[in-house]
Parts: sequence; structure tokens; C-alpha cells
Amino acid sequence: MLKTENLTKRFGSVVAVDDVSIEIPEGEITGLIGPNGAGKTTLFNLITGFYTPSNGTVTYKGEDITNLAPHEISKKGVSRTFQVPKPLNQLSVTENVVVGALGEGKGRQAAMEKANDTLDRVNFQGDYSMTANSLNVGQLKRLEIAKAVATDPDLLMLDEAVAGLNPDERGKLVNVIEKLNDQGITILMVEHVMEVVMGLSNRVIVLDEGKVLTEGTPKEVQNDDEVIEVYLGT
Amino acid sequence: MVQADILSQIILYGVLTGGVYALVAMGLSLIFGVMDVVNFAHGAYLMLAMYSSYFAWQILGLDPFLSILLVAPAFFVFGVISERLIIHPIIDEPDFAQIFATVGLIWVFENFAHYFIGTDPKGIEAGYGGMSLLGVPVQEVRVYGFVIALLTALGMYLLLEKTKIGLAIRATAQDKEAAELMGMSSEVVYMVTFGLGIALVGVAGPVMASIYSTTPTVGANYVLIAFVVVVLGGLGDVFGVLWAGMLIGIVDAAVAFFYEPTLSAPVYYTIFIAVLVLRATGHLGGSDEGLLSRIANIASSNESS
Amino acid sequence: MSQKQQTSTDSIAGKITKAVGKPSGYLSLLVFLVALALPLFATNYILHILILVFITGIGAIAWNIIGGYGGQFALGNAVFYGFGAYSVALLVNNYGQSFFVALAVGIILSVLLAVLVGYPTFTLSGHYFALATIAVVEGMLYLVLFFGDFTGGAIGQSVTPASWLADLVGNRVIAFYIFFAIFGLCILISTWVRYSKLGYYLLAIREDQDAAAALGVNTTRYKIYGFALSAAMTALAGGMYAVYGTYVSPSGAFSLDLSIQYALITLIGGMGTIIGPIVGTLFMVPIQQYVTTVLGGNLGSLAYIGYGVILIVVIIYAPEGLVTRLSFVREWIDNTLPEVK
Repeated sequence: MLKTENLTKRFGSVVAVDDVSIEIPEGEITGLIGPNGAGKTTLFNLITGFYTPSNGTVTYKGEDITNLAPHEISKKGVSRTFQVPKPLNQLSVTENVVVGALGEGKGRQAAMEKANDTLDRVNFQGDYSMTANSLNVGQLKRLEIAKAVATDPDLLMLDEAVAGLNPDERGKLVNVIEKLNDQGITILMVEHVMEVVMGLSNRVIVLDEGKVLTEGTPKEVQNDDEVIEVYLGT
Repeated sequence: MVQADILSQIILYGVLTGGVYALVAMGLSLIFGVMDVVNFAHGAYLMLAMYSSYFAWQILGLDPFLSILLVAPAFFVFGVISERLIIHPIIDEPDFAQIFATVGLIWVFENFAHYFIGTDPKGIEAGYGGMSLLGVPVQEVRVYGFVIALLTALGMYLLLEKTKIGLAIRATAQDKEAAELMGMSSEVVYMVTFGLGIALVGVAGPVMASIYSTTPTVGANYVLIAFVVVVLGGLGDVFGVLWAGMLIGIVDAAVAFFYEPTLSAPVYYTIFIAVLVLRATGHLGGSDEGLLSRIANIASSNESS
Repeated sequence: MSQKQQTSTDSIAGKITKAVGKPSGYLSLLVFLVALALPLFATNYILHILILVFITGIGAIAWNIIGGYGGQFALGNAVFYGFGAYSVALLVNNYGQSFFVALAVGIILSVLLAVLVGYPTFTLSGHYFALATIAVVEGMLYLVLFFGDFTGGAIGQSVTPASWLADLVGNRVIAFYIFFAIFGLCILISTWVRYSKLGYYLLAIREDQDAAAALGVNTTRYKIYGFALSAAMTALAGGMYAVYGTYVSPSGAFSLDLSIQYALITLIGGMGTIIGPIVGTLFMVPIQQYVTTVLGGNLGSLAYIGYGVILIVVIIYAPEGLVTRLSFVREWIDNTLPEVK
């Protein structure tokens, strides 16, 4: 579904993403892991058009999307969340999601309804008319996902969706992600919480120092000596 | 046909004036580049610095160029106090907060001058006359002003490149978080940077006051030129600003000579917008980089390839 | 359990009756009716001040669309005011065009200029847009001075509209109603924008440009739309002022002060809210009139020192403006006065 070939990003002399060629198969959940500074978020930014690659290409459904702007990529059906949620603070929960739902020529009323439905889909707990600046971490994380889901993505890219949540909330959000995947959304997730990635993913890609270290099923990755070294090593 | 001696006069006159423009723009460039704060009150500080020099001359009989030694340190302190009181509380607020706060300062400063000093233009007569430079008659004050601009640029360069605080300032401008991890307090760096930026105004003010007369609104005339110079020359790039200032000075002199002095402003605003257009369409690289250094880069990369 | 935000359960008529039934609702209606009846007992001078409130208010409402909703710090909106005013003055005076044609030209030129300035600057960081708008208004001021033979130069020129129009706006009472109506229309447009796609997109851009782009918002395009609309409304204010004031001058029209004032008024009232610019105008314009015409001269500059201090204090301690303060008043009114069924 999504393919990167020799994707590279340099910042001055630092190579943040180094010759990364990966493929995200349709319908699956792919996990993207690696230690801090491995280039995971940079890779997200390259795929979604926030950074221009120094080298390499991104192909989505057979189409070259390498140099498209973020909003164009979003319109193609690739939607992302941000590691630090970016709510529209002065607006209500519903209105936050409306921005994503207004995409395809919907009127305000239809977009409001769609926004409410999307909030139901991600199982948002709380009053939808609250302003976003009064939400707790769990609600913010759900809202962040709801905004992205409201754009009707085929590929949803989650950047640390469960970070900062307690185990109970985490479990509930995992169910939401599974449900979205069952509904046909392909998922690529950057995640630090190992039990979540390993439990959810069909396949896991490991990045280290900008390069793909290895990829495979969660089991293969967990038993890979190099991976263990990267995580446990100095 | 334009005679060669007229052309050289225009260029010489433009370079001298432009050096002074660059001197005015240096503090703005430093503050914008390091703190990402556009100090709209830059011109109002300049006006106060010009008056300071005027009163130093009128009351103490101090030569305007000597008064720099008094005004610049005083303005460093003034800058540090301003940063603490006004900029620091809103440094993390959206852009508009800084714009409004500094616009508020303009009102306070200008009307302070209006109320306590009045609108009569104040000029310094320190006994400087004319001289001949490369066969062209020029005012002495412009030549001395230009020399001071060069020395200040050199001093700023050495301060930024060769001292510890200079390193901290450059590191903070590059990446505030990383600099803090390396033990450089951005709070202190910002305080010093704003102080230095205003101290540079304290150097520019006396020079300006020796050439032009001072009124409460004199700053507005020069702050816009300073913005154009900064955008052309690059943020925090001392020599870039110097070159850009001279370029604007020459454009200024040429337009004034061949057409009309009132047209020079629209011309450099057009240059300004043109630079923005070129940047936006990706022809000139990042927005922090000066136009001139960018052209130099392109030229050198063409040479090497 | 989750509770959904009301979408369309109430009919519009039902909503209105409910809103008017509340004390803050019927008090607002009362204020509106008093305003309508004002010409019956107000002096011409008060009507004049109110007309100035309306004209400035339109500019502030327009500024709020790009500056408040969109968070883009336009500091040169006076250039559009100037385009509106000078289009009317020049086309009516020198080319015998009708007021409406002249006004339309002013609006169209303003929209074109907004696109021209917005396109290159909106892709760069926020400061450059602010600086570019200043450059445009200052540059235009010099051009108006330079082409003095055509524009009237620094002195400006008087405007002589068709006699029917001159009679209409020459009558303070009629002028009051005309400007009130157009002011009301602009409030409606601003309200509509706030709840339209454009409004949501602008708010999203203001809060976080990257997040907006990730949701499929073409940020540059919607900022240009917002700026163009803002420009058109400001040109309308300028064109109308030209016939009402029957005089245009470069220092009044292409002024950086006026541009900053639009922003200041909106800030004082509450940026990004529908009523912010309205409250700000009602509060600031009469004060400014008092300061400049009654105090004047030296005391006026003392007052401006006060303004500056207030501005800085507001920015540091109450950047959300007066409106949030006013919501306490509304709550208090709603809680103390009886409801009407």
C-alpha cells in the first residue's frame, strides 16, 4: 500500500533517516520501533510531506507522493496523529473533529454529525461540547485519533498513541485501534510501549540511527540479537 | 549618459549611508535571529538614543561620537530591563503578543518624547564639516559614522564567534533546547541578547543624531529600512546585514538622484516583497538565511562543480 | 456516558425564542431597539461618533477574520481602506463613475492586492507576513504622495458624490441607519464565516498550522481566502468613509496607525471571537475621539502613553481581551434577572 525507497533525510551533517526502504501492506497493523533519536518521527514527517526528503521516494497505492504537500497527502487518504497532541484549544471537542470531517465538500451540519460519529468510533469518554483545553491526557489522545479518522483515511499513522496513559486506559485504546483496523483502516504505529506494539502488530520494523535494523513478526523481532542489543546495550 | 564621477558619487554616498543603515539594523537582526522576536519598537529605542546623544551634547557638551561610550552601556542596561519587564513574560506567547507589546512601547516612548521634549527637530552642531573622500565631497560625520559601523560589525563578529557568551548566543539561536541541555540558560542568553541588541541601538543613535535631526517620530522612518536590511542580510548575520545595508544605501541614493527621494521607499519595499516571493517559491532557501549569503553560496557551489 | 453536542434538534425559531427569553437575550434586544431609536433623541454629534464607530467597527471585524480567526498578524489593512477610499474619490471625481462602480473597483483591487501579498508571505513564518503588510501600506503611502498630480498628494482631495447620495449621507439620521445596516451586515458575514468551513479552517490554522495541514487543510489557500475577505470588507469601510467624510487624505487612509488600531481594538475586545471587535470598537472609538478632540495636543500624548502602558499590561496579563471578562457580566445578568417565556 505504502512504499518508501532509499528514503533519506539529512539535517546538515546529521543523517536522521538513512536509506530506508520499507513497505506497509494493506489491511495490516505495522509497528515502527526503535530507541530515541532512531528517526521514527522524521520518517513520519517524510511520508506525510512535512519534510522534503534529501533522497528517495514515497509511493502510495502505486502513485509517487514524494513531493506532495501535507494537505495533498492527507486528501489521498494518509492521515497522521502527532506525538504531542495538537488540539484546537478554544474549540469544542466536536468542532475539533469537524475540521477533519469538512474535507470532502460536506456541509457544516453533516460534518458535525460525522464528527460525533467519529468520536463514538474512538470511544471518546466525556462531554463532546467541552472545550479542548479542559481535556485530560486520555481524552486528548482519543481526540487526536478522532481528528485523523474523520478525514476517512485508508492509512492511519499513529505517533505514540498510548504514551502517557495508565495500563487500564491503554488497554481500552488498544481495543479502539484494533476496531479501526477491523473496519479496514491500515495502520502504521510508532510506539514505545512494547507490549502494545507486540500485541497489536502483524509486523514490526525496527529503526536504529536512521537505518532499518530489521523487520519481521513480533516474535522474530523480539528474539533478534541485534534488537536486544540496541535496546539493552549502552 | 551618466558620467562616471556622478556614478562614483552615488555609490560612495550610498555606501556611507548604507553602512549607517546597517548599524541601525544590527540590533534588530540580532534580536530577531536569536530570540525570534521582532522588536517593532526598535525605531523608538533609536529615537531615544538619538535624543540621549543630543542632550549629552547640549548639556554636557559631549561630542556625539564620544557620547557612544555613555549611551551604549546605558542602553544595554535599558535593554536588559525591557527584556525582564516586557519580553520575558511573553516570550512563549504567540507572535502577536510580542508585536503588540513592542507596538505599545512605541506609543509610550514616542509620546513620552512628544510630551517632554516636543516636536521641534533637534540637531547636533558639533563642528564637523565637509571633507574630500576619493575626490568626492562628503560630510565628515557620514565618514566617521561609516567607520563606526564597520568597527561595530567587526566587534559583534568577534563577540559572537570568539567569546563564551557569543557561543551561548549562537547555540541558543540554533536550538534552544539543545543549548539548555548543554547548560546554557536561555533566560540569561535572551536577557543578554536583548541588552546587546539595544546597546547596538545605543551605538547607532549618536551616529544618526550627528547626521540627522531628531524628532519623536524619527524612528519610524528608519525602522522600516532596518527591516528590509535584516530580511536581505539574514538573521543574526553581522556581515550580511552590513552588505545589505550598503546595497539599500546605494539603491536609496540612486533612486533619489535619478528620480525622486520619495520613490526610494517604494523601491526598497518592492525589493523586500520580491525577496519574500523568491523565498516562498523556494528559490532562496530557508527564511533565516540572508539573500546575499545565499547568492554567495550558489556562486561558490557553481564554481566548485 | 458520552453526551453529544446539540446539532440540529431545535428549530431556528425555537432557538431564537429561547435565546430572547433569557435575560441577556432580551437585554441585548432592548439595546438593539434603543440603538434603532437613537436618532429620535441623540444629537448630531453623537450620531457622528456612532457612524465612526460603525466604520471603524467594520474594519475591526474584517481584521478579526484574518488576525483573530486565522491568527495571521496583518499590520497593513489600512491599505485596503485606502484603496476603497481612493477608488471612490478618484473614479467619482475624475472619471464620473457612479459610487457603486467605484466601490466595486476598490474592493476588487483590494482582493487582488491581498492575494498578491498573501501568496508569497503565507508560506513563510508569521513575522514575515506582518512585516510585508507593513511594507505594503508604507510603500503605498509613498506612491500616493509621489503621484500627487493624480491623487491629490499629501493634502488629499475632497469627494463630491452624486447629489442624491450626498443628500442621503449628509442627513445624519439617514446616514446613521445606512451605516448601522452595513455594520450589521458585516457582523452577519463574520458570524457566518466563523461557523463555515473557512472559519473552522482558519481557527485550525491559528491553533496549529501543521495539525491543520495534516487534516487536509490547504493552509496557504485558506489564509489567502481569509485575507482577501478581510481586504474586501476593509475596502468597503474605506469607500463608505469617502462619501461620508467627503474627504480622503493619505495620512488618514494609508496609515500604519489605522492598521494597528484595527488590531488593537480587536485585541481589547477579544481576538477570534465574533463580538470581540464589536465590543472593542464601542469601547475604544469614543475614548479615542475624546482623547484627540477634547484633550488634544500635549495632554493627548500623555493619554497615548497611558494607552501604550494599558496595551502592554493587557498583552501580558489578559491576552484574551474583554470578552471573557464580559461573560461574567452575562452570567450575572442571566442569574439575577427573571426569565421571560
